[in-house]
Amino acid sequence: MEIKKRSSLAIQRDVIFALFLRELRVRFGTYKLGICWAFIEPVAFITVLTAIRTAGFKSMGAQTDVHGIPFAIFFMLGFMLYSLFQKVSLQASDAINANRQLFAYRQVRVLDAVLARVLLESIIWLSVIVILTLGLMWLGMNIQMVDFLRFLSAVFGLLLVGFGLGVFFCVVKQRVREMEKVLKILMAPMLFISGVFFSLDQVPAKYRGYLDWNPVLHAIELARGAAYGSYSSIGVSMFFLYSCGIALTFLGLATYRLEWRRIVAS
Amino acid sequence: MISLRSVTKSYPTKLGRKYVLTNVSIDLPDDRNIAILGRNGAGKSTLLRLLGGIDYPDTGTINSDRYISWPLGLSSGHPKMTGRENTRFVARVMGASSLKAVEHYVVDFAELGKFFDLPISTYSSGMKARLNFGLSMAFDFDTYLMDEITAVGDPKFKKKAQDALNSKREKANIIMVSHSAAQLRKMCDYGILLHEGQLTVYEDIEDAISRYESL
Repeated sequence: MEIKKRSSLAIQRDVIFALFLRELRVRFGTYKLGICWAFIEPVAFITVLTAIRTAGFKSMGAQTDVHGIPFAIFFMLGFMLYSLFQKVSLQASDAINANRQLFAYRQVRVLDAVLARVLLESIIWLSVIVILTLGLMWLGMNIQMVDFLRFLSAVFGLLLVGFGLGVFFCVVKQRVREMEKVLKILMAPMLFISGVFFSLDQVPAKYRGYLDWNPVLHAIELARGAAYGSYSSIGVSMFFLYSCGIALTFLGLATYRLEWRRIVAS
Repeated sequence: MISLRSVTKSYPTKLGRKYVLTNVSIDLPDDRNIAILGRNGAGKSTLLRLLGGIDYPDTGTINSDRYISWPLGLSSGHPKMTGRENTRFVARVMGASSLKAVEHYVVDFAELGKFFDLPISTYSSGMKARLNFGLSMAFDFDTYLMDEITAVGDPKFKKKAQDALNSKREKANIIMVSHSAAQLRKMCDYGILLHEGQLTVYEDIEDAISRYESL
């Protein structure tokens, strides 16, 4: 078969698509329930947390929402954004090791493998959050989306943070294997310090300053504030989120640029 | 033409840098079939990877306007993907206009039967080589890089591979690494000796082989 002449961009598009399909197969092909797992995980998380918190607050006779956001949606937003960050950065950081043999084809560049994974995670995430929202709507929850653009901005800012961190660790791991453990240690407390369970103003004021260094917390609180007008995302800023996102993406891509040749070299 | 200009390539080992090429400038002709000779560990496979654009020199440049295949060796493709998945992956990456056509060609050529839908990790080395070889023959490359591949397979497959290669050779040339002088004599007419970081060109393959054997 004749080989077509393609522009660099067309080659990259073809490569990312090929890697994307491969990743899709690997991600879901190995489990019995396949793609259902993308839904089971957040649904289980939201159900358990909502049940616990509703039960806890009922016994105290208090409300069943956080500043106008029903518990289920409050947790859904928190957990989904947290998991977007976590999945994107962990998947990106492992993109090289999972695809190493495929770099034997000169068209396949290391960054393409990372981009294919980020694309896949983003698409899965988007479909899961849409379906979960429809499900909660069907259950009669009070769904709001006051400022959709701001919501998207928060999600994209978080994506930058996850991507930058993922690329950085992906590259440095090739030189220093221990970085794998560093990333795991870094990720371990994220679920608890990113405002998944509590909003920032439910945290005692003297601790807020420490939590405020975490860009994931900013993204989650901003997204909640963008969705519900009654929710005050005080103490977080889009500027900080994007500063972190852009700085980490720069760091990741800079280390990639310095190291990529060494990575493909045997 | 594949032109190397002041190419230096080394890789780190625990005992310091190992130099494969030191400041090499050379032009490889399009119309000759080139044998790369050298002792074990001289860096023949690395040289092939450099020519194939999947490894990069420390300094210097390697340029070519030809479509060069990936090095056809004993292992290639992702071990966890099936033969079919690997075939489709490569077809997509190469921008093939018809995935089906490539798939049919490889199925016919490699004769893997049911193994075509099993992961490559379950293949014997002969089967891997057959898949790899069939896959590369599905595309009209200008230059085929071969790393000891023609030594594998049963006689029937060898014949088939030889025929496929001959049909390509009207338009394409090969660059191959092999330790078998008989194999090189049969396939190549131009020799390059890789020794201590330097490349020596021999217009006649016989000169290259006799020099290599006296190393």
